[in-house]
Amino acid sequence: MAGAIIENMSTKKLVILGVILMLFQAFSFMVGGLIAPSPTAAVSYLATKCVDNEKTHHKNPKWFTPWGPDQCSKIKDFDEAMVKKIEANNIVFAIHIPPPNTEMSTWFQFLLLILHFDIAFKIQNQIADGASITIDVRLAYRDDKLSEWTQMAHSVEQRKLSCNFTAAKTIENEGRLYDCDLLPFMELGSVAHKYYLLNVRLPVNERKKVNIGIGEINDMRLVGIHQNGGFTKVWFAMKTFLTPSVLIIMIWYWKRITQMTRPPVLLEKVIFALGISMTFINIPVEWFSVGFDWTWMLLFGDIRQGIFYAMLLSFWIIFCGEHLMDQTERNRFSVYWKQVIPIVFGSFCLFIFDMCERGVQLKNPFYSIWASDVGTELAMAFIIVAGICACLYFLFLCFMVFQVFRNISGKRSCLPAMTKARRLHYEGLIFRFKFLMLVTLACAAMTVIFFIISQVSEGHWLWGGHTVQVNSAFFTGIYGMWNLYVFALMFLYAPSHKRYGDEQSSADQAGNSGEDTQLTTTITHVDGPTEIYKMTGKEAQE
Amino acid sequence: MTIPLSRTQLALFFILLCPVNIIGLWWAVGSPLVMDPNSICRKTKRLAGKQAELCQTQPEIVNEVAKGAKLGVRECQYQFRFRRWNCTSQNKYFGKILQQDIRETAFVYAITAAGVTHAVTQACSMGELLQCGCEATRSRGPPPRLASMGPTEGVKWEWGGCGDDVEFGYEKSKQFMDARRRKGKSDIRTLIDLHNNEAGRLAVKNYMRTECKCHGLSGSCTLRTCWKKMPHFREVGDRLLERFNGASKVMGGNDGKTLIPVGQNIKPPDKQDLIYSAESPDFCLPNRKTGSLGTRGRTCNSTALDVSGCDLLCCERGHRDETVVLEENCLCRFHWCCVVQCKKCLVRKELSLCQ
Repeated sequence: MAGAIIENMSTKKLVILGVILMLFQAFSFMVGGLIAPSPTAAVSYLATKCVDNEKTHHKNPKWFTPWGPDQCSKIKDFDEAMVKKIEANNIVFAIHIPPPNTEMSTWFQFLLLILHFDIAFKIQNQIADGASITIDVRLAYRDDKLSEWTQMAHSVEQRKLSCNFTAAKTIENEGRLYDCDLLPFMELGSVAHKYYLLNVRLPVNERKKVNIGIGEINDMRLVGIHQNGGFTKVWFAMKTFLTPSVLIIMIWYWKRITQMTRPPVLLEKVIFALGISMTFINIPVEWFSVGFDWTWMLLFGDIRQGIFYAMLLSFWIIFCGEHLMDQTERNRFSVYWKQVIPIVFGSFCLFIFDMCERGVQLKNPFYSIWASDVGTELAMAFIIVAGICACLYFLFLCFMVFQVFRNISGKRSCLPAMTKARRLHYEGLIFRFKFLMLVTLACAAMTVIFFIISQVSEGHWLWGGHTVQVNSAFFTGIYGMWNLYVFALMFLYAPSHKRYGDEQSSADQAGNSGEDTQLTTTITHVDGPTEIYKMTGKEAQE
Repeated sequence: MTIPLSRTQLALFFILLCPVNIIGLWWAVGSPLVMDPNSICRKTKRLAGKQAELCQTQPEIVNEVAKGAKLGVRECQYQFRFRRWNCTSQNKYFGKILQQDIRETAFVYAITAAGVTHAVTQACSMGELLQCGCEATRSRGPPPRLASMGPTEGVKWEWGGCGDDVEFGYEKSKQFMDARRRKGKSDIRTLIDLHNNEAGRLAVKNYMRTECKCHGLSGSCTLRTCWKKMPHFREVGDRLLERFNGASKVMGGNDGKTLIPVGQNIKPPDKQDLIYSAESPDFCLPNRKTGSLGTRGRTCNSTALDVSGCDLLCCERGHRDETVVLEENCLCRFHWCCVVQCKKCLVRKELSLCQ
């Protein structure tokens, strides 16, 4: 009989392998913490208030630039507008992205804009309950400072105002600002051009109640979030290094499986599928974003992550099930459909949600599912269902782990009475299961701990003379860790060529035909010798 | 650290911002409308041609400094609107306040420094100042090998982004407001003014609010980005008014370089506290020497018991009641900004005026 590599590996070799993996793990954390900048950058923009004196709306809109040689005629504040008899419909908010003396870069990967209004409290011009603001926005780009602006998006959007006034609503407090929530504004899935320009109008229509009852707006502020170019380069380099590593171990693993004379068992297939999904997430397709304007790269990345997580969660369920030593039904995927359905359904809900948000944004970057009541309800429904599926999965997994441990403790008491071959077999199963359980718990704990640290901390620590980017370390470290996890899994749980004890008693075999039925379906049993063994035996005969 | 300044720049700063006798003219010459960059640059022509050159090389920053000073004075007038001294800046008396070391002087210095910080930071966010950049960035720069490619600022921006604009606003406020005094003698008044300027700047810088957005997988918080948001200037004014009410009286230390609090068992003022060295007059009667306009004719609240009440505001000289008929806007149709369509109405108002 043969087991997995992990059962036949000496303690010394196992420790050496563990140390090597730990060193790679530490290295992946340090790459993020010491080399890369923080993952994202946020830039605050204050919109310039331009005056549009044209009465007609042309088909070719005029572009209002906030600064530079061809800048618009602007007003400093709306007191000035009142003096000049300017109306609300003549105001255009203009924002140039990026700030002066800088350029956007394809390394930035995405551009997310968040909107915030400075609305002053006025007794006679308050924000109505349930007020909604209508935004007429155009987005243009150009690639050098002398070109004409080219329009790339135009939309009329609505956003619900959610503002709170904390002071007393008295005449003394006029001029103070409401506390308004942030509003999602725009998301671009690629940053293919150097300069972007936004022109925003808040059209007023008294008859249709458009932009009536939204208070007195002092300023429009935007925050632009993009991935830092340095982080992108480190991330791409890491992916480019990891792809061949996992691919090589995957090929090696498959060759080990195909050397067996029996077909691969379910667990071996699942481990291989996990390797495929890890490779799929590793393949640095993002390099194309540096050369091509592919706006779907963000969505594609989300889908790949979803596939990997679904595969990982399924693997854990099947690994537990295949180690239930008294289970008579095994080695068939259909045994696990009850546990796998929550994973598939939850992933599907999140996929639908992502398509409704990022998918629609491929066409209209200003779309937000949270902007409408129906959209908000749908989004919440999908997220809640996914959450319920996650809880169900967790319960199933805990129950199965409990079953396996109960099974293990039952088997352990019978071990001394077993034959050597059967005892070694069960000890191998127990050791294999416990090892993976420990490693998985360690990886999950590390992920949760770093997630909490990155939420709580400022984002960087000062350590001696060095600045440690905690958020970047989190991303590269956890990503490297799961790659090492899959790598170690395929290496240690590949079939071993070593054999259990040298002697086998046919008398024992005859007396335990019932348990033989179980043994024949586990990963450790061979229906026949390996190809190499066959050839070796043949030579011996000759 | 302060950038070393040439003599002509010192002269320009002196002309622009230092409220000694000659600068008092600028501060108190008339209405806030006079505080516009053209007037400032026009006044510097009387010195030498190089001041005009400075106005040409950095006109945007001078522009924002003037806006900031105006913002500070306007906020001062709001915060002191019910007090005996109400920060009226449209006469020569305002310059007298600035020549003293009373509490009111401390507030004006602090609110002006805060206004400059606020205005310059806003101008950076609007893209109106080309000088804002990556110099003060806290992000780590790219590895030295990459830094040799192309202009340093662009590479820094692409690699790790730039720092908050408030750092730039803070530095510019420091340069303009503190520059001459830092070079000058360290007498008590200079130390007090530098301290109060810093307190004003910190009232903006230390109260930046952190806001965050989650935008990871399916909008989860696996990817979260935070940024700093500047407080509304009304909040800054409120905070400095609290500091004004709790200001510490100080006197010079024996070494001539430090300030120590007056009185026993009083904690030394920290960086954000306002300090003064002379007691304020009561501001009841006009006094050209102290810059007091007096409270005669001021509107007061006959039912209030605080500083806006008639007893306190009128210094117990009594008040008289008047009824006036005013023409006011009414039945307005408001939009979110700009011109409002209103009708005119006659309104009777009961006023209480100090005797």
